[in-house]
Amino acid sequence: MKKVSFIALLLVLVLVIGIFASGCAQKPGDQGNNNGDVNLDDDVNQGDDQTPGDETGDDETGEDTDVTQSKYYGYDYPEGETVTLWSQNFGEIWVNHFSEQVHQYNLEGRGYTIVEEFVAGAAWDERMNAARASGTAPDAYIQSYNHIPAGIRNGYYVPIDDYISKDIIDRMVDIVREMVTFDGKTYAIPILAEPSAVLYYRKDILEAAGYTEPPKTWDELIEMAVELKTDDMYGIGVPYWGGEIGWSTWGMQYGNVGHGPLTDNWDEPWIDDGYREFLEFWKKLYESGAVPEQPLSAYVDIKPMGQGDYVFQICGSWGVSFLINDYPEMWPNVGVAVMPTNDGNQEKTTATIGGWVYVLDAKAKNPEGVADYFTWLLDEAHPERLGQYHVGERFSKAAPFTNVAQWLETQAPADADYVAVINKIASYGQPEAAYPWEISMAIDRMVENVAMGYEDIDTAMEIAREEIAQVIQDYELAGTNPRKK
Amino acid sequence: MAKKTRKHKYTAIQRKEMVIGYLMLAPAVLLITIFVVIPFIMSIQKSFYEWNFYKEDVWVGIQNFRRILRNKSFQRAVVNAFKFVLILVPTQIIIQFSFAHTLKDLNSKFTNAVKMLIYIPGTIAGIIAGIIFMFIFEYKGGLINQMVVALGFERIAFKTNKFWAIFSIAVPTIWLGLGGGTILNFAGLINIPTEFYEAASIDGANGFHKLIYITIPQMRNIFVLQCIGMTTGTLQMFEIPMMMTGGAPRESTLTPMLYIYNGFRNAGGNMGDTLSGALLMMSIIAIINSFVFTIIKSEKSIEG
Repeated sequence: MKKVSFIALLLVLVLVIGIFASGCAQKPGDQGNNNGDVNLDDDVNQGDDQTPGDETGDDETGEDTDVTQSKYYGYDYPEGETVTLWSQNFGEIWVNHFSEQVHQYNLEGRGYTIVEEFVAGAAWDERMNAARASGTAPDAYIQSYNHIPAGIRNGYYVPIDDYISKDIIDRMVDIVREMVTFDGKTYAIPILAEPSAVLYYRKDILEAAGYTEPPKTWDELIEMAVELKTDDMYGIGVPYWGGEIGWSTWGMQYGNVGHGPLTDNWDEPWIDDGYREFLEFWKKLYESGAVPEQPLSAYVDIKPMGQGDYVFQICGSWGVSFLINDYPEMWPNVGVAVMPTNDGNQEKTTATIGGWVYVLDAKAKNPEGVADYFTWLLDEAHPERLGQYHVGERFSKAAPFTNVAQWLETQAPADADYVAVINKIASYGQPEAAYPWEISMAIDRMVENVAMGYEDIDTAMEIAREEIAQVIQDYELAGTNPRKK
Repeated sequence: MAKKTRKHKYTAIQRKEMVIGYLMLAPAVLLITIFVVIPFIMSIQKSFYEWNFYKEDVWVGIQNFRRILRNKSFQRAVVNAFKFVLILVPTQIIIQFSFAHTLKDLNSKFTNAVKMLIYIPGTIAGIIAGIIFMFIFEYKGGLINQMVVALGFERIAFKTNKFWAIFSIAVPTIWLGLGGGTILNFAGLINIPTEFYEAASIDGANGFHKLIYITIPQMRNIFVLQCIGMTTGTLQMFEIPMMMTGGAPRESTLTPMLYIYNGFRNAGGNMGDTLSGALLMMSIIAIINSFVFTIIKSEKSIEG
């Protein structure tokens, strides 16, 4: 009996310890050198479907509900037809700014009442698809630039030209207009544009090691990372496979390889020797030990840099506002630079320009109301209506309208050197890929195969060619490139 | 002797009871029809079309099925699912049976406490378990890696190493199923007549003999039930792989449900592909279940 009781006691102990142990692991947001590295939503997004459209949501706010209403929800506005807008919840700055703009618009009583809801990023696709299925999609909603071609193909959006004045379209920055125009029709109202790849580096560590400037070539980046990493600090934070490399390296491919993975007519794979050099870079990154065996966060998350876990981190320009706002003590030690390139030439594409636009739903009940709101928001005489959002985001994104960009120049602090860097990257930027996501995933897998040593470079390239050819055949892509020059 | 067959005549009371019975069944039938039967039939119909809610449906025949069957990621996901079945089903059955067997033998005041503690994981949703184990398996701040580093070893990359990625999915899955499975086994064990063991003891059987010749045969129905439930559950695994690895590395932990979910999320994708994948998985699961029923013939279940 005593033996049996002992076993029982032991079992109880094991289970109790197990349950407590599960709660003792360090939480992701904890501060200090042993900081956790995983944000729940980031990890969810590391699924193989992560696209630029997944780069936000409640990652940034810690919101645990799917929908956030404006703080003015339920306010008694002058009577008007209801217009529904959905946006992702891109954080407090976004929600507060656009809630305020909608509030001001509604107060003017222009015959429409805007109701905007802010949906958590992780729940966005499910909600949108469910709303489309049930015919309850909002009149207009946020999308990332790279979703526009597929949305047009699927008939989800209608052009805005019939509703928005030409003056607004003419005020769009050239590259932005290019990104929202297909077959001569304008399909979206841009809100921001941001380079998808920027090199963040620790100024203090580089200076202490005698470096006066950040690396310009891939080789320099790897050498410096290997030299400067310590037991407590990894060399470089890079995008991870499973989707991140698929989209975050579009710019690297265009600039360094010289083209994307498809021919201009989309009728054949275009995986040539340019990709060989690109793959060698990824191979060296992992072989040299410059990068951790497993990334400390999702690509979109700059937190490890803020917490001092990396010497270098590659992330989009949005990282600036997070570092300034969330890690003010670390920010003075962080520099922002153009992504290194294969040959050191930084006057070429190193990043695509991503960001967010509003599209008009093909079944919108009130497209005139949507147009009236955006006409008000983008009024040439009031650049601050959109511009103040960019101020809140610390000028980390490019304004998509010329008048707003000019207004922002008058607002930027004199010591904000990073603004010039971001603008330089943006000036060489290219639109995000318009080809189907499956193509980007083939590139993602090709890089994983080489970087992790599963395949040699030739075999990995051949596998990618076969996969891309299959996608071309399956989706009948030949001749369908909407941006064919 | 030939049986006389004659048409059964229901009495007035029986007919009244039948009406009441059907009325009581009606809400369930109605709900199942609305939420299961009609969507199922619609799904089959839609799987032969290219559709996306906004455009006219276009008849494409079996193209959606051909496309999904040719898709390398989906193929890998199906193979992965079967690997997980081979790993998880026997492991879970053995662990749950062992725990239940130990519990049965305890016969002490701690038994209830142990049962309660074992059952706790069963009350936790898969997504919550995923979060708990993400913290445990984290690369830099996770409990396991903190211990590994403290012991002087290199951190374990649970997401980039194939073996550890599978391990990081297997552990939470086993942990989640432990409670329900152990209680089920425990119920089965206490249901075995003690006379069998007493008789065996008189005949000189030892513990091992009793286990092999009495306990395991008597538990056959429980094992069949578990086998079917676990196989189905494992083939449909979604939350844990999504939370722990997202299908990485090299899609070695991508499961069919995770693939289908990603396809549904992808706004640019054709819903027909996704639907075809879901229907194919449903067919595979139905075939597997029938197969398991066939190869594990339980005398009791046959006897009813």
